[in-house]
Amino acid sequence: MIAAKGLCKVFVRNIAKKKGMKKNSATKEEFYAVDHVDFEAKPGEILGLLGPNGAGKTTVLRMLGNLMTPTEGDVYLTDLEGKEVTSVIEKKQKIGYLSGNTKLYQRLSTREMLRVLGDIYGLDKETCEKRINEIFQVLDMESFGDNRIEKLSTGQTQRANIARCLIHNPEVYIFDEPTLGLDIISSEAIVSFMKKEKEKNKTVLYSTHYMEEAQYLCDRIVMLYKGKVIATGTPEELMEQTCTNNLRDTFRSLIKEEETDDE
Amino acid sequence: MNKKTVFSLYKKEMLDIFRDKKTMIIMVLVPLFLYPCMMLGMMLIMSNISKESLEKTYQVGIVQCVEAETIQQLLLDDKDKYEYFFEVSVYDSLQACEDALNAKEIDTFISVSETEDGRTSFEVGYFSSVADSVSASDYAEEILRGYRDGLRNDLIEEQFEDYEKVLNPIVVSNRNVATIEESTGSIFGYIIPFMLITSILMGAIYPAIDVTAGERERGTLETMMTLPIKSSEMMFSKFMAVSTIAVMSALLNLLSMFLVGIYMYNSMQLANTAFGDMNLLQFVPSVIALLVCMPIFAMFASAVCLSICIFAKSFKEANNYSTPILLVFMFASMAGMLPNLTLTTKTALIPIVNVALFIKAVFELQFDWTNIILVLVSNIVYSVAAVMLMSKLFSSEDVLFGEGFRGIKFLEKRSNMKENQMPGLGDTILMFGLLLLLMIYLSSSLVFRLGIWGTGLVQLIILAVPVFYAWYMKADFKKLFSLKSPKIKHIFGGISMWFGIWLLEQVVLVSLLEWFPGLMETSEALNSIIIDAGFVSAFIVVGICPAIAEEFAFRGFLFGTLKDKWKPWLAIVVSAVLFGAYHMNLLQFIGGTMMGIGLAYVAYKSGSIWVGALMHFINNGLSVVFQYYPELIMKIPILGEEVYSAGDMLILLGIGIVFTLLGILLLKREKNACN
Repeated sequence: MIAAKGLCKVFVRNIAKKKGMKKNSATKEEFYAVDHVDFEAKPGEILGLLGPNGAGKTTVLRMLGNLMTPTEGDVYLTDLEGKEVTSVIEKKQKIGYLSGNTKLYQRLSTREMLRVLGDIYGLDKETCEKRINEIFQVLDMESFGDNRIEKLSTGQTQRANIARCLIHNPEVYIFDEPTLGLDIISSEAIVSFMKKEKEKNKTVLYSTHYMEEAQYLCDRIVMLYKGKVIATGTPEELMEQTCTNNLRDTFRSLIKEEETDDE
Repeated sequence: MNKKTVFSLYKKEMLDIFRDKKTMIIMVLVPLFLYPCMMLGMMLIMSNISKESLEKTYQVGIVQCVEAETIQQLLLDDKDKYEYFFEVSVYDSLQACEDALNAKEIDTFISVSETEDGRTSFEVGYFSSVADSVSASDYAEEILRGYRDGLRNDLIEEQFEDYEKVLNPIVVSNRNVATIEESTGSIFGYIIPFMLITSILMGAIYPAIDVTAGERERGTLETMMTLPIKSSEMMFSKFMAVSTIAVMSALLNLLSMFLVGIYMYNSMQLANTAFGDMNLLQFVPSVIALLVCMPIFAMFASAVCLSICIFAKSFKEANNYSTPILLVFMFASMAGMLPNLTLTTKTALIPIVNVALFIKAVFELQFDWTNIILVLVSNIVYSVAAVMLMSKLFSSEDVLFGEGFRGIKFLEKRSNMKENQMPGLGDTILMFGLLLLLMIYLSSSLVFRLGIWGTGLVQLIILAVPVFYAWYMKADFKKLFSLKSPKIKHIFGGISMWFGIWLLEQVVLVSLLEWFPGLMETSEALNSIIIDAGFVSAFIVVGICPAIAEEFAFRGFLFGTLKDKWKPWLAIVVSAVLFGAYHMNLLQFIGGTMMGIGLAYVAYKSGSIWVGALMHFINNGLSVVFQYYPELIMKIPILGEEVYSAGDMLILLGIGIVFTLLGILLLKREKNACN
């Protein structure tokens, strides 16, 4: 059963992910793909994870989605009363995870896939059917919901993928570059979906390369660089801090700062 | 594990597999179409060949001689008696005949000479790799023998009235008591195992690749990981799905064989051959046994395929692994064709071979229930154990992002190696394979040539291989081989633990020898080499060399890698079993595994390889001492006795456990101390 009570807050305490050793390093320093990261996301908030390629965004989100276990530190999921969800299975029940790597079963139709998922998430048949019809209506999928997924267009597939995250009515959404490679209309559909869920007081974590999108969408931003958090705050705060007037320049100036620090 | 989750996943897998046309075609079309075609085609070719050989005219060459005329008459005259024909040409010399045979102008030739005692000798020449030549020479020989027998009979008849009694004073004959069903059954027993085992494997391997490497490649595995399922639930659902497909393919295979069988039976009845009188109902129990065995074997095949394909990153890579699997299965399934190999309590435990022998036995209408149950149970145990192990070994994270067989770091160029890396799982598999090969190929031949120093040389190589490997991949030597100097406390702990386990080992081995006295013989050969060598060299080679070499290889390279990847207890047990298996004989396997657990535990707790090396040295050194001075062991109470009583065993067991526990206590890490 899905616990409808208590929306969830996610916070991350000092998580780190080791990935073997650093290449050609003379010192025996271990390489961290994610180097001791702290942040939290509250219900009713869209938290954006920004950073260049290889910054560790995907690894952080995978750890949040419990697809990977951190080598150090912990990922916490608590309901509003502060009670912690401990088992991985229960955590996954409360999370809807979507990334460029979560592909769908090409040989099933969206409806068939959702039925299987409903089964696994423990929905009973009636609720499941009701939920599928609701989702089809919301995402406007009635026309192609019974087609095999291999026959769908990219935009339709992405909507089917969102439907997949919705079936169990999760408390937390984790989206890893959900708009990557989509046309304006499809990505707008996703963006508006995230806003709607936020209004329902859900927690949304999301990573992207599109700065304009992040500036307009995110309540708060965590800036990652080489596995470390280099800045956190609302878009406005970050822009103020770096004396820039758009997020794109903020991003550039923060990275530049780090690179000079490194040297 | 949640049954409902497994079942929903299973439903999904089945739906997914059934919509995959490739798999379906291989599954349905191959058995229903290909096998009957193959069988009928074979029959057609066979009957054509035998017809051809009967109607054929053979060319015979005769070396010019006095008897040439006689031979020619013999070959050409009795045309009604034989169903084949000869054409004769006469050559000037033996050389000319041989040349003609080599040039395939003639099929066989006959040359005539005289033996020392003045008899005429006919020699038939043929070319053994040409089928026509062989049959032609056979027929020619048959005719010549008939000629000889005729002459002999004439001679005897001249001297004796009752020549038949002189010729054959007694009568020897034979009679086949096997019923026609039994003879046919044994033919089935030869062919069916091979065909069924291969076809079940084919039925299992494609879905197995599809649900592992295929899912990984299509990216749906990551989607699956976002669901609230355990990796064991995922593994079992995949296992069930692949097994189902394999069973279905097996049933289709059986059905198609059955239909072909019926067709052949009918055509034989029409042809009025002896096979037509066969009572097919006799095979009903065999078929029922087959129907029970097939699904169980399908489970085994699925487990094997899944266990291997789970390593593959892509469809292509998995396909590469499928060829060796297929070869192993085909080879083992040929066990049914070996005449002397039958189903016994031992062979019933060997995977694949046992199924081949099972099918053979039931078609020979032999139902030995103990063995049949052994085969069925062992197959179930193997497959469930494999799947359980898989789901324990691989957390979902490993399955999804694991390095798989790409983990063989040795394949990289050395300049591309990262500094201070650790070997992967692939490296341990390769390393263990290398060590085994060394033992199999080098050990016996070197010991045979160099005696005890050969053993020393082998140990040197066993040390060199992991060290070179680690150097090549620029591994962190200190970490991999645990090259820390040990603490005094840990040394005492190690020695105490060695003594404890050594006593336990004695108890286990003595009881084993009591139950299976046959095991003793194997160790005699090595003992004589040790005795011949002289005490000092034996002590160095057997006592010291392995203590260093095997510790570096097993507790260093293998355990060092495994403990980095797995839970400590699993790494300890697996490295110990590998260590036992490396000894390649049953007694030492058990002893080696027991000691291997202790040694790996000590290496883990003390963080130093030297404690284990010391234990290993004491262990081997002591065995050399006892070899040379057996009177020493006689002086020790209890251990020195010829036969242990039950009480003695209990005492040894008790002391063994006490010392092992003491060792564990001494080896306990202080809190926050080491890492």
